[in-house]
Amino acid sequence: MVTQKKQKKALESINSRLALVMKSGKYCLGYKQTLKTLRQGKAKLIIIANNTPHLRKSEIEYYAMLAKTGVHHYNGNNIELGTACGKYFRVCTLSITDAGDSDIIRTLPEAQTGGN
Amino acid sequence: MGKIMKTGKVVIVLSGRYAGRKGIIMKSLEEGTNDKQFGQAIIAGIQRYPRRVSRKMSKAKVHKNCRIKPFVKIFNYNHLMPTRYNVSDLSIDNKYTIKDLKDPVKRKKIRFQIRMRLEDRFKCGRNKWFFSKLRF
Repeated sequence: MVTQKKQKKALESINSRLALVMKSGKYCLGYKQTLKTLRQGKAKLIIIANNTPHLRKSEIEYYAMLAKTGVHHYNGNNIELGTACGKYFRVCTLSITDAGDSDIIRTLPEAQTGGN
Repeated sequence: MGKIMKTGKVVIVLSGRYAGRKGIIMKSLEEGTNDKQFGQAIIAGIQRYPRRVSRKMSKAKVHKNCRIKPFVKIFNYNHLMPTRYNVSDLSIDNKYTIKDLKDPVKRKKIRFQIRMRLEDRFKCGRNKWFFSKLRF
């Protein structure tokens, strides 16, 4: 019960941070563009929905390992991630190239090691 | 937040005639060229891998088995899979450009140079992963 509540709170905070990035920062939605930003070294954080195919998930994690970029596994599927980005389409992977006013890059990797 | 496609990085070719072959990035062109504005890299790769060598083989057979047939080609970044491996300081003259690759005589010379370097490296016993065939 307690972990459910904690997860929900964490999810809300990620969503609010994402909304701030959408408003004030730069991002790339979609698999092809996230790979592009990873290759160029411009990606600061990668967010992957939980229903991306495992092969694609591993591939993005490998690229992020090579580029030394953090990966966050979003606690929701691509429909929810699209909604969290404020879009009317599904989003499986997104890469944040400039966080703008949000502190998502500083706080998220720690939260990940904690327990998402 | 580093660039991935650097010279010396081992890369697996994903599509085309050389799909499944391993290669080394000789030169990376992040912005592409004037007429092809996408990320590209000049790859020197192995077309025919060297065969396994055992102690029982005669010197002539060992020599035959250590031969490598290389290729040199420009690939779109999308058609490459970078790996965590590197082949460092392969002393190939990096001054050639894409125009040089279009000239068949120069291309042959470059390929020969690459072949000599790769065979030396293979006989040294370094970069074993690069010279082993990717099974799929």
